[in-house]
Amino acid sequence: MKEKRTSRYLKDKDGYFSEEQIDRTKKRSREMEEASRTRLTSQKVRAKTLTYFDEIMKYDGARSQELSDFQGKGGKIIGTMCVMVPLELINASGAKNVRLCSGYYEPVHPANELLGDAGLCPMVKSTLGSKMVNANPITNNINMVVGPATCDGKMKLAEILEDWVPVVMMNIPRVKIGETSSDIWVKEIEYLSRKLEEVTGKRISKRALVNEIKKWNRGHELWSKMLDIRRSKRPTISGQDAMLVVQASQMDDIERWNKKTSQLISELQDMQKKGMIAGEDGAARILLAGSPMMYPNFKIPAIVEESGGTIVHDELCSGFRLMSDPVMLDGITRKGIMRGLAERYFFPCTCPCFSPNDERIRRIKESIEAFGIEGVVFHTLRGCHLSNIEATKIELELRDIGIPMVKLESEYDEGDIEQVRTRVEAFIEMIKARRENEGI
Amino acid sequence: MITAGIDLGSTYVKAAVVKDGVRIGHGVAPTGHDHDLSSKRVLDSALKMAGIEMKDIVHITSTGYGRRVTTLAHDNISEISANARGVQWLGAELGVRTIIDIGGQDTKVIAMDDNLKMINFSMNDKCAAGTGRFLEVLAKVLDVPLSEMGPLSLTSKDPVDITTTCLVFAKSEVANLIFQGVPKEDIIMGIHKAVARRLVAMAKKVGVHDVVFFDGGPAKNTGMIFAMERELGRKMYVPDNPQIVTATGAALLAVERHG
Repeated sequence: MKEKRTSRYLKDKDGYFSEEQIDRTKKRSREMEEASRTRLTSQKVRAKTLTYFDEIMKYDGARSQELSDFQGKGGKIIGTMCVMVPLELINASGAKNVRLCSGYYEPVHPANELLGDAGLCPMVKSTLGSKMVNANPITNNINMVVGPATCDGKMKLAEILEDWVPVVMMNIPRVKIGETSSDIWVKEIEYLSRKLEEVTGKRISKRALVNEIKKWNRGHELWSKMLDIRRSKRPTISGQDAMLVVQASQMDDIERWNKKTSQLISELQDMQKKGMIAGEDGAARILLAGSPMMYPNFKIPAIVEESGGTIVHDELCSGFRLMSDPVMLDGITRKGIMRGLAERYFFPCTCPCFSPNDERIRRIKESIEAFGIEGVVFHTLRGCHLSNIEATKIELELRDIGIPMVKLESEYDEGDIEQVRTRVEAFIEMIKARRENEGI
Repeated sequence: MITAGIDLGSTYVKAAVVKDGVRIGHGVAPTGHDHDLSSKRVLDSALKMAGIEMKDIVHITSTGYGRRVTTLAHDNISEISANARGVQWLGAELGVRTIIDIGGQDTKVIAMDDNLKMINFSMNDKCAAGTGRFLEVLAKVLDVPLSEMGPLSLTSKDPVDITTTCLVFAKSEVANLIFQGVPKEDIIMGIHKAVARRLVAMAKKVGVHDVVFFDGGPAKNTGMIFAMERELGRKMYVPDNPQIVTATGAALLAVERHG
């Protein structure tokens, strides 16, 4: 990995972007994050502990300084591009993880200079653009990227990023029932393990791995408690905030995240005892589904919750799925641990890149039942073909069980806000009218 | 009780005044830059028609894109709910289960149950394909007044195939056809057919049942109705004033909201 890398996608990187372009990207990213944070902090009922998570996710916040200090002392930072990367492995190698998938709008523009005509999703473009102009302090100084080859966009993004930073691509077996898929994935994880050892110069011991698995499993346990709060009739946390918290787990040190989340849960439980509620009384109970929404791209959830809905659950790889399902250790041999990790990060994943993917609709239906969901908001990023395709199937399945679904397509800009709002408002009005009909 | 609904669309403002379940006045005018001014003007003409004054109105509900902008209204509702309410009012005896509404920058399909309650809906994505704007811009390219589009297209013997509903591409496609000397009526019917194809595909996804109700400004266009009915394979119900159904729905919702 030490050989000089030659660029394939951008030949003359030095000075390619003008100061004007770089400054604009940073300035607008900062402004966007500030606006998103203001929107979150101005919610009427909001637990105080959430301020901690705001700080973790803040543009140019304390966390980026912390990471850069860590790196200054020789620590390694690994960027992840997908919910399927086993973070336990990264932490067991002594490295820290940060999620690269970008929710910032402005970096789409520098990436467009390379990919403008490719019709790719804006999240992929923004992630690339952030790296091209070093727009995001928290993800700038990564030593290596781990990119599972899921959708076409993510796969080629990983390849292009190699012009800037070493990348480990992981071969995701996309046909899930094949007898070979599980074996391939175990081998891929072993390969990642070797790559991590190379970059950190440290051997991943069995003990360290078990230790990290315990920490992340504790995170899962806490997240289940969070889901209990959201499942209740009077949730004390909004869907946006819950998404912020779970996304912070991808940027923070897991032990500290566990501690703060535990504190948050106590606060939320106290708020429940006081009879408080996040969002409107009698809000429509919404499940958010579809393409990922990375902070600060909280446009869709914000509109839903400003229009009389409360997002009580989701099925997103930028939400619930980040912390769902613990690693089940299959014995404590190294092989057993690896298999346990592989299974945790493969089988429960309901990314539309898999086929068959009936697990997804099964999980959505289960959530609808358990969380008293009244409607599904299905969001697709423009160019997210896989989500778009599955939306049709999911809508028809939901229609059979009498649950309405609205499909919203969005871009990385503010131009579609009012159009999205009209659809969401009508959707929530419809749900509330149905209640009257059914005499609820 | 007298109430009013104002539908602030992207191209036209519509107002309706309702007294005890009867529409007694309405007005339509282009949306200007000043939403308050244009809604006031339209409401004034509706009041004049009804022979009443502003102070007689107890509640105003706004709808449409500009619904939050106008200071005239007491509250607002999405145009989808308002449209459904308007159709509900026009009568259960019509047997309507599907509404197709073409607006200035939106097209909507609404599915209703036996009690005329909305059960599902769909809207076009954010581009202007298949909207009123699409027809308006192409009418300009062809130099045909919007009101002539329908009658002229019905004289077409050999409609062309417009292969795209992307407005930008359709503009150059139409310009090409004009250069080739294709008769205007054949181009216009081609345009209507292209819009119909897109809308019917959208309607089918939501579910087409029993009577289909067609409203919005373009529902005044007889050529558009013809193309839609051919593509759907069934007749539609088009009200006398298709442009003010949503405003009427908002006026009726104002009654409920006033309590």
